[in-house]
Amino acid sequence: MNHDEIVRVADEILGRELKKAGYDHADVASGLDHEDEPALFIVAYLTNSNEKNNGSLYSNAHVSLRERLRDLGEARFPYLSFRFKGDVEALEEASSLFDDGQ
Amino acid sequence: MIDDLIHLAEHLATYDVGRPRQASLKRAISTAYYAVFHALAELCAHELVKWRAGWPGRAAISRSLEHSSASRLATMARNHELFAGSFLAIGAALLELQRERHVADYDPRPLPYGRDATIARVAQARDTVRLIRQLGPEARAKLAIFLIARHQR
Repeated sequence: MNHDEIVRVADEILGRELKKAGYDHADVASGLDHEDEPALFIVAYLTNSNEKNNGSLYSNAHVSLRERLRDLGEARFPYLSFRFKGDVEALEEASSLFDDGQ
Repeated sequence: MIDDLIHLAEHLATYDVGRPRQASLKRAISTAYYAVFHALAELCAHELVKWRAGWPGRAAISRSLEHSSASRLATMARNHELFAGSFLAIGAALLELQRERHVADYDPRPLPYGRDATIARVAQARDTVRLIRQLGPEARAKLAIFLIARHQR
């Protein structure tokens, strides 16, 4: 599958599965994983951290994404990580401090 | 020990006041991975030797559970005809945790995510331990044999 197709599938599946966590969008990249296997690296951006302790929410989303991609012929494993809104803002702030040499 | 590892990971993820230290978040991720790893090791030991071989037997089983078994488990989990559906969730979570542990343990750069995402990953590890413990007898036996048996690459 090409990049745009994977993004569409990620949006469809994660938009549904991570709705409670405030799914916003996903970034998709491809490459080799830590065992040098071809893989997809999908980052889901979430706006609601109230569900951060709901482990099954993330597991179910990952499984649904994996199954859907596999059904569409995508053999690469989709690693799925998360960025919560508050975390992203804190990281951007830390990054700007670093850029300023502080 | 497995529950203690999960509690420790939760503690590390929420330990710091204000901006969390990288060491806390990285140790939380690594500890969460090992909780799942040891849950699988415990399952294998229980299914294959129980207490007949004592601690040495259980230790040998744990050592036999290679970390690369995670990849095999994820691959195996695709086969829904042979294995329970929850294998897919266990395999996928284990592989994801394994990758993040590699980053946490070996990459000196700051993690690309923060406290909330770390807490979510630890919660996913806790849920994965729950899934492992809820497997039925047949699934547990299949999983133990698969993880310990040597596979030709």
